[in-house]
Amino acid sequence: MLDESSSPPADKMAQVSADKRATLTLRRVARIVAVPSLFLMFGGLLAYGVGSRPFLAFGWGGLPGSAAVSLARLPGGWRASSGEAAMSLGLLALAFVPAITVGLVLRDHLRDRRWKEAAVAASVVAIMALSAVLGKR
Amino acid sequence: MWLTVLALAGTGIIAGMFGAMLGLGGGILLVPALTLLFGLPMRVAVGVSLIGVIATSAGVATVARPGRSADVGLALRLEIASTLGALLGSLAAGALSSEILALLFAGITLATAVYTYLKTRRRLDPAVADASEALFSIDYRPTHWPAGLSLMGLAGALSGLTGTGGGFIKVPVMYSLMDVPLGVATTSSNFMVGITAAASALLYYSRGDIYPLVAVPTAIGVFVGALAGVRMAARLRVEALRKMLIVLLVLVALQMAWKGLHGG
Repeated sequence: MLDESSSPPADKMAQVSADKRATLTLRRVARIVAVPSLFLMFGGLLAYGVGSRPFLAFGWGGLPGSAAVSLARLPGGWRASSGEAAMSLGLLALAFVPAITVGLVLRDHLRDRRWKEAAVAASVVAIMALSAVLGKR
Repeated sequence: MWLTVLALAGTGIIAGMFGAMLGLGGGILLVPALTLLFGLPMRVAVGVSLIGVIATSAGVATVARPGRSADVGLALRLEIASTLGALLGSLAAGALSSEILALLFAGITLATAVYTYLKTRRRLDPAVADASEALFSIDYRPTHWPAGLSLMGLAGALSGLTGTGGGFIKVPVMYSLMDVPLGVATTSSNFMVGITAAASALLYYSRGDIYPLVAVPTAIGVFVGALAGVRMAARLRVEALRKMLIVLLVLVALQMAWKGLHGG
């Protein structure tokens, strides 16, 4: 249950400390997942539009783009298929950035045995998972 | 093709810049641009816009600073209602016609214009400007939880229906209704809009309403724009841009209303 009362100062300070750690988590996930996903998408876009070879995707799209472009030789012409595969993969990775962030916040709460906060974060993750499952139907 | 790609990226840059500077997410500009300028169906524009909102949130997050950060505990509690609303909203969007979605969007755009206008007036009020040191206070207690949660659910539903982040509801609800300091409310909203948009985006993605060729250049542009917006917000006088945005939003609302009423 959510109460309307104020948290005691000690709890508030613990909350501030948790928020500080969550901010660092948020920044880390954005830099480690979101930025490479954008490079991957850029590589895919180049591959799709220019018909660039993997080395071009490596130069412009980064290593993930190069790997996806090299590996995803799907039917329908490698230009379109590999480029689309890289773009779709990048989009999917970007869409999962918030879920990964909340997941890591949940992990931190579980480590600190902050059960109430962990339950809240778990609920958000569960609703996001439900969204993905419902979309499949 | 490249001209369209560049135009989409340019649109994304502008939307991301305004979104990051004003804490709006950017969807409020992306959806009308994609439907009115690029002629995309409303549902596709909403899907692409949701990816743009996530990109704005991620762009802002890459330069997040501890000490001037979101109240993650508060944000996640409110996000339970918001993501549930987003889920229901995006499910409903599949059943609604483009005309109804356009009319709904027109209403939201007008509401955003009013909110931005009120925010401008508040900023110009010296009494409030002097209180800037309290923007990131930790000595506060969120109040009115039931009303706050209900309105967050509504913000989530509108996000799922119209592809906006819902920041224009979230910030004033936290600030005015729940007594959260303005700085904390704004940064928490930036964190929250990404989560809300992601809940809907996964559904749109699975439904095939997110076209990679449109979403990718837009998302890249939005991310770059958001990074620029965060840096510019610290240096520029935002009031002039805010006024320009208000005029733009009113024009967009009128155009979307016209589209909704006449099916154009």
